[in-house]
Amino acid sequence: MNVIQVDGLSKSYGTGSTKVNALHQVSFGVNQGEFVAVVGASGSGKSTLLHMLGGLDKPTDGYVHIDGENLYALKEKDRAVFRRRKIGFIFQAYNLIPVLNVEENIQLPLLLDHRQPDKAYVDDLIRTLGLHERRKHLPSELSGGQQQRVAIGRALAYRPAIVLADEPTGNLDSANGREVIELLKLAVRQYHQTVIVITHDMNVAAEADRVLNLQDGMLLNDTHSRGKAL
Amino acid sequence: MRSYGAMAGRYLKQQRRKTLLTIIGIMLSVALISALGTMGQAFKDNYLSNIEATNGSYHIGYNKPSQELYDTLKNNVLVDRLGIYRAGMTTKLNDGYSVTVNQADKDAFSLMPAFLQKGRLPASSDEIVVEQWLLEQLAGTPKLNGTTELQGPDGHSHTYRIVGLLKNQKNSQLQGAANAYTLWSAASHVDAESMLFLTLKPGVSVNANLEQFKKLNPDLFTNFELLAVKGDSADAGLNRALAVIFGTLVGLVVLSTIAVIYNAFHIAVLERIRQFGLLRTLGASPAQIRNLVFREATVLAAIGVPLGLVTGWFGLWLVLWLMTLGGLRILMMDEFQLTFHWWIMGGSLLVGFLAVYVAAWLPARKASSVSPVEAVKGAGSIVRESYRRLRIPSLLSLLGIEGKMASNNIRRNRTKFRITTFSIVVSITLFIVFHYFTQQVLGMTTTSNEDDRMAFQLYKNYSSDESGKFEKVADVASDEAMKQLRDIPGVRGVYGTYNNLDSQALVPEDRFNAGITKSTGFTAPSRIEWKDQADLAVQARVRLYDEARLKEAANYLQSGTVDPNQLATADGVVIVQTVKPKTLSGKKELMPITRYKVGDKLLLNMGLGDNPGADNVREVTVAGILTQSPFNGAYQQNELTVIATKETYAKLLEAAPPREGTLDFGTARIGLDIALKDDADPAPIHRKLEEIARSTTGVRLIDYAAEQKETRNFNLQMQIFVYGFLIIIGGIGSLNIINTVQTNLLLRRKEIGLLQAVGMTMGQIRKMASSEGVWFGVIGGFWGIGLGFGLCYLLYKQLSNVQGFPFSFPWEASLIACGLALLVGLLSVQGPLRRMGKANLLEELRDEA
Amino acid sequence: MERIDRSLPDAGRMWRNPSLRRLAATLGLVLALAIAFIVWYGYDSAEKLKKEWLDKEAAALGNMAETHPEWAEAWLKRLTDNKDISPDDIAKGREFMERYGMTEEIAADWLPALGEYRSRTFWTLIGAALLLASLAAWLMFREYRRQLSDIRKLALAMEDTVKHNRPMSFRMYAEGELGLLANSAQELSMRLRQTNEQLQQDQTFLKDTVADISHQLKTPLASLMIYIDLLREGNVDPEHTAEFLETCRHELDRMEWLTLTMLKLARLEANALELNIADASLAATVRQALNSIERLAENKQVRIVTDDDGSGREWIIPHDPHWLAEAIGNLLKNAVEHSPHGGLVTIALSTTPVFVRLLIKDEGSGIDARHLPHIFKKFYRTSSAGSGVGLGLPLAKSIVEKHGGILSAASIPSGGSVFSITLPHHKLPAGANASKLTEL
Repeated sequence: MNVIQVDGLSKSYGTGSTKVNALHQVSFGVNQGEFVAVVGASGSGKSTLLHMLGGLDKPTDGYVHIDGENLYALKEKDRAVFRRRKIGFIFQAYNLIPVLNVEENIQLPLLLDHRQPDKAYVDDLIRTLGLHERRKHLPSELSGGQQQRVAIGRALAYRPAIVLADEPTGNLDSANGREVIELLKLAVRQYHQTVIVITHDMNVAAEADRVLNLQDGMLLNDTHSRGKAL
Repeated sequence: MRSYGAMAGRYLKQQRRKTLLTIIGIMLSVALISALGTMGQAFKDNYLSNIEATNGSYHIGYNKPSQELYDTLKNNVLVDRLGIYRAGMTTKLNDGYSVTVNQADKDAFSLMPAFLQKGRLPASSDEIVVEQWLLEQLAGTPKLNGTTELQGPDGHSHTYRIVGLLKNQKNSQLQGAANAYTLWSAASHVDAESMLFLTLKPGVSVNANLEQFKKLNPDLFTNFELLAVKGDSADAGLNRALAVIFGTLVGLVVLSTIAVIYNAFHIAVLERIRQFGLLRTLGASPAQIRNLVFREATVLAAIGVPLGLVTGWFGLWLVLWLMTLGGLRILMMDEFQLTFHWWIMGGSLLVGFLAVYVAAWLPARKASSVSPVEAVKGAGSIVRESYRRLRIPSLLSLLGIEGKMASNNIRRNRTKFRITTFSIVVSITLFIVFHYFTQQVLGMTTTSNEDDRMAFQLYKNYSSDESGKFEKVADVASDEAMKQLRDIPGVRGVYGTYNNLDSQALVPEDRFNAGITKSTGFTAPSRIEWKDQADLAVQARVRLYDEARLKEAANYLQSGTVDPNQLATADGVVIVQTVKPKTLSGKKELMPITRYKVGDKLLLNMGLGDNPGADNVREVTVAGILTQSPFNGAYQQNELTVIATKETYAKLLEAAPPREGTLDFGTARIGLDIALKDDADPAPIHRKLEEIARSTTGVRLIDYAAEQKETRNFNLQMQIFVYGFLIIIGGIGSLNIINTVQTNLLLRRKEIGLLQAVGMTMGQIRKMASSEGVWFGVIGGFWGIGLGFGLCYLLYKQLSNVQGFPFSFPWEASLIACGLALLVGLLSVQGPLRRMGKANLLEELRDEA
Repeated sequence: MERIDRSLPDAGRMWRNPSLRRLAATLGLVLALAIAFIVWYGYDSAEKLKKEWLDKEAAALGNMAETHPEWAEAWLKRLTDNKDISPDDIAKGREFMERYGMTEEIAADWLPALGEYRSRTFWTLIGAALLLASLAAWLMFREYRRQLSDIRKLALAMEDTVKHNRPMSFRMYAEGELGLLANSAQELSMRLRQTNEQLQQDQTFLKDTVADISHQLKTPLASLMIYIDLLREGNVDPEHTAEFLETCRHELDRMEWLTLTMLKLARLEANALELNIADASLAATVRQALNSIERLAENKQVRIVTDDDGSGREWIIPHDPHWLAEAIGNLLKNAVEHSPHGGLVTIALSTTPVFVRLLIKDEGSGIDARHLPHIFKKFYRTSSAGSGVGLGLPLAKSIVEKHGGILSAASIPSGGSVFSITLPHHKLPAGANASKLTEL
């Protein structure tokens, strides 16, 4: 089932001689439960694409449909609520609110939606992430790998349909990085979430079901490394 | 955590120091606002009681009433209290003193300006109350509850019991004529000799009903000043001016509060802009982000504002208590109750909260409108410089590479620079304006000169016998006696009083201030020909100052000298040429009447008339010019004051033609003025003076030590309050600067770490940061003085509606303020820099959470 | 994610509903209007009453002033006297009035000023109340209509999904209870469509599986039939008979294994088999698996080495030893089969804070990139080598995924392949059992 549909997406900054085309006419669709990797050199427009998918940056042209909803036709407030409930973000660094501990950071999307989190459920999640002893710790007391795991936990807490990760392993060593990717894959398997990962690490790309190759803001090719039925 | 809003509390707890500083800032501001309000109200209340003390508390009075009028008024529904007063018969006493026994009924006692010091008011027509000082002069020198014989209202002698003592009035002592009061007897009638006083019921407007009362009897007068203060007169000028002034001051304090809080919040938001961006990516709506910022504001306000109210109240209370401990009567009232006005507290609370929210609004908007992408990318936003703008080389570049970097930093972070400078500007402006205002108000309400210190006066009254011949004039006290007086501890100065002379100063055109006739409407001085020169005749009063007085005059010297030796040898005089006439616009203004310079020759015509004879005109030299008269009233209406030593005065006296029928005082000492030191015990001095007075006939002692002490105390209290306020304002401003500068530095920790890694030593970094700090101070000072100037001028315009005086900008205050700001800025940089120097370089470079 | 509890929503939660906020605004507006009206009315009414009363008094006084002026004065003074009115005075006065019939019971209308006041008050207040009530009613009606319309649109949109399997045409992204309901409805609709799609996929899968089974069984069945026929004809010499019988047995074994495995797979897929997940020693499970392929390894002279970072511990993790042993066994079998003669197979155990990793490395030819996406598919065989039907790996994957783990394969650049089983120390919560959505 098609959960993400991108048509003719373009984004440019500046005008006249200083115009920069970050993305140019990118179109693709993603099915539910796919683990997609987006690769490309620096400046190829990967991050821009991700931000657009997450409703953070308005495109100059084109559409982003998530579950049939035209993301940029919504009002700003509605888009915020949409993001809260349907999209999870994981960045390369600075993922967490420094004044909140592990537990609270994970619960944040729920709290923003004025829901009272089920303590048992959150506890379970923290246990799976291997953070049980550290759940009252602040981000400043955690290692890079642990911080990324908290970010993943937050992305799983509300079970959003889509998880967008921007170089999640970029700051980590290979062991931690591997762990992050495997957690994401588990999430795909168990919760049937759709995960889109930006990476320049070919090992990460190898783990994905599908690889999108961006160059200079354009989609080069769209390979299926694992041959999932489209 | 029950809701995401709890994040606000966490942020505040994390930045403990900054939160504390901001709360203290709010506290001080709210304390200041409530204190200003309370003091303003107390000032008005005090002013009101003052007027009631001098004029009485009645609203309307009738001069030639009739019994009919009285009865009608008694039945009038609007009338509250109605009192009858009738002046009685005068009983002559020894030494030229006299006392008049007046009648007043109960209501009249409450409405008239007579204040009971001891005892009680008369309850029957056999009892009287008199002023304290009169007791000695009455037959039999009775004490309280004693009796004396005086002429009653019916013309017959009557025995009265003294049941109460009134406060000593200066005027009655000077004239030697006292008033005593007894109760209105039922037998008396209201006739044309009496006076009626009445007040209207509370809430009834006097002004609106005035016509009605005029109709009853046209011979009506109102207690104008009282009504003006109450706001119930045709002229709302005073009240409006007061409102404007206090409104401006409170407004300034509020502005400063807003600046402090805006600063704190803006920087707090900038620090956390990345986190706000992150929250947006998690799906926080802009309203939720704004909510977070407002919650922080609410917590800060909820702690700071009530504490501020409490501090303000107790601070004032403490100051007043200390003052009472120190023996001062607060604002000349027996019991100064710090009245708790709910509306002031409520208003300050409201204003405090509003200020915090207004200040937090813009930063909240900024936090919520940040693009999440920009914020998340972080990387310290490298500002793209536009190459079109001309680069004006900054002065800082003169300080070497550190200065150049400082200048670049400032240029790059224009917004932050502007925020910091803004708060410095506001602090400095506030300080200057406050200083100016308080000094001016003090100057207005308390034009003081040495007369304020005078506690005693010896004065001889000269009377003529039946043949019209006067007694011979002699010194009222010898030099020896004066020296003895001076030796008594507590005496600040003993000054001889001499007669003064009327004369005409022949002022050349270029030395006369023609503007004065234009603005005051006085008749222009007449032209007099003298030695082929047409001069203008300006009234001049010649006074004799002895050495003691001349010594005091030195404090008021504008130019020249007051050295008596120098004056004596060259026939020099000291002049006061600043006058304070009432202008055509109805207010009093300070202006010069003549424009003499030291060294000019001054022609004095000791005779009168337009054709002075050669013997009547004398020439003296202007040896010194004073800013105001040290004695006898600081400013005259339209007279030039000429002060001479005994020798010069004698010469001028010779030139004066003898006057028939008046006593020739010559250069005799006709009286003494004695000034006391603060806290001096007046009793021994009083005794000594009585001794002197008794040794000569006809010498009167006037004692207003108590009054004088109060006036001085009032001035002192005002000074205390004023400087107290200034210190608090300085405190607020300093807090602001410290907060801003420190946060600025802490935000750039990573940058500084990088600089260290590149090879900059801590000393160089300190120099760079210090030059930035200094530049803040310079720019802030520049704008602060500019704004301060503008606002002072505005205030000046308002104040001159009440009383006129020239505009003098407080340069010293401004420079002090700027200097302080620079100092505070520099000092506050050192702390964080030292901490950063000690910190581990690598920790700084690593990404902070 | 959130527990359902019995408590009613508190004020904060209620306030988040936009409709409630609008309602509060409405009531606030009506209240403000009411207060303004009352203030105005109070003032105006008092003024009118004052005027009428004064007129009455003036008339009475005017009369009195002509005949008895001193009484008029006393009367006026008494009127405005605010001082204490003694009860005696009241009593005396009342007594006097009663003599002339003026008691408290007298109808208010008889005192003209009061009468008018009363009727005026009555009508004005009723009119104002009606106006305000209708204003409030209209505003609330509008609010309700809006809310009910939203609910209706939501209901109709859900029908789209239920009846036509289409995405919801109307969506709401609001806070508050209605927003939550809309959100849940949207999720439900999505889940429903996913399930439908899954069902269709399952049907296809079933069709394929049936086809596979019939295909797989067809061949051995055909062979069997030929051989049995031949044997039945009796024209086979004893040598060939034994050979044929051997082949038949072989084929039957194969069919048995095939059927068993497919059954296992099917039952696993259908959740008919319960895994006994309990803390048990992984090391023991590995040993169990080793036992099952001991002979095969011996035959090929392949050495199997276990590398568990030398701690010698037991690796207690929650798992079902029986099934996991089978999965590991299948992988080992695959590794041994692809190993060269005398080669080395390594079993490596490691742990991270989140996972336990079990790697099985062989020194074979590695996995071709072409095959890599497909090796976990049923009946897929990279080569005819090996005795299996191509179900071992899919079974292993299924078992591992039932444990909440991941099974992946990769080629080792220096030669050979590695299969890794990654098992979490603690399964991801609430969802592992809803594995109808797991795909193969």
